Amino acid sequence: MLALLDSDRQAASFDAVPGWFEAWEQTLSRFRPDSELSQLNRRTGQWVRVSATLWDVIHLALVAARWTDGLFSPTILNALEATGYDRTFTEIGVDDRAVVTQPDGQWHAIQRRSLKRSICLPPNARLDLGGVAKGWAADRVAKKLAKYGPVLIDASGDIAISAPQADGSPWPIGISNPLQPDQHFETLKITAGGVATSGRDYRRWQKGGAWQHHIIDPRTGLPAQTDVLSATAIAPSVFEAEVAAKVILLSGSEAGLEWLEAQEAYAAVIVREDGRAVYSAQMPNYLWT
Amino acid sequence: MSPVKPNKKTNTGGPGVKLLIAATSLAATVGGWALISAKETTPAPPAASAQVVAPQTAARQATAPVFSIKLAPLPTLVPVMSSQGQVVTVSNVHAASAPRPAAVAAQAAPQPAPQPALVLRDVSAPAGGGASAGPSASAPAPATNTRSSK
Repeated sequence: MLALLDSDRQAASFDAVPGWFEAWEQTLSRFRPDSELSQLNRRTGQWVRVSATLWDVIHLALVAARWTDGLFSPTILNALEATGYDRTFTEIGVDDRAVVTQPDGQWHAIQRRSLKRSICLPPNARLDLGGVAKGWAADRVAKKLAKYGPVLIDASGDIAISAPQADGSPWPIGISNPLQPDQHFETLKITAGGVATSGRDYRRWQKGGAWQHHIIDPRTGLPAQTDVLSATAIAPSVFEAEVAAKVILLSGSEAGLEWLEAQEAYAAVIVREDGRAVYSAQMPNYLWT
Repeated sequence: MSPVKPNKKTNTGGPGVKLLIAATSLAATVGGWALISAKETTPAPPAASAQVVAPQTAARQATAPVFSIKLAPLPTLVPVMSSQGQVVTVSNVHAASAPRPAAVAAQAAPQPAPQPALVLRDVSAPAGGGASAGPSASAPAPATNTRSSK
């Protein structure tokens, strides 16, 4: 996590940022057995009262699911673990067992009672809030620190920007080249909003004799079959950018770009498997040329 | 002190005069309408009323008088918009210097959607070995990079 504040003012809250992320990790991580999310996942079929943080992030995840007609789904954890992603990425080895999974669609059956802030997951439907949680956290920190001056928050590659830099210039944001990870192939100029990249270039492993990656297609329950290597999206918030990038990755470059062009105020650049980068119509407005 | 007499309304005419005025007015109105109706039932020349009507309607019109009522244009609270100033010009998106605001995007929506420009660029060339592999030379060093999760 990186936080940049372009101001001479002393921000008392600035030092508290790592603590905020730690608290949210403890609430939202599926890799911590004692996290609030893990506890909820163990109590499927029951009504469970949850914290305001978990409530808000689950709400956002369901907003994204409805918005994308289920292409972005929070209930893919079973499928994700079936492909072998059942521990942190650094702990995954080669697994010869076959991948057995099924299509997802259980997010429809999640029940909520807002007055009691309670949630009931359908039986055998467990949540993974990874991308949404990261975007939510970046947006939230940027909003909390914005009163001290222009701020940039980088949460593992998902970036929130509150305002232009103090001198009025946009923030320069590089887009990592998925084919040359130590290089960036474009520099964005962002004055405010969110930037997120979704890709299958880093997190991949072998199971059942085939390469797997962590972007599950809810329509099949399997890692997405797509010609997109990575998709970078710009949107008014990191949450929206994260969802847009993932939809493009799952849909493929052609359908993904068509979907994105139908959304207002969004832009994207897609790197395909063939090494070609494809730009949305609005993207040149955000490029440093 | 002489007693004050209450004001007494003086009649300028009796009931007969009022009746006469009313009757004259009514007669003039009825007469006027009769005159107007007689004029308007006169068939207009074919050239002046070139209307295409269905055969059965034409048969009915041959036997019944036709009344045409010409109404003045209705007043309206919404002024008629001239075509000038209503044209929404959408500049070439690649020439724009700033992101298109949502309001302008909404105005442009009814127009045929332009095909998204598929700008292709090869990013697989080795770093430093090809002009297209890296960012613009004039771009500043990034404050940070966006990437997929490691």
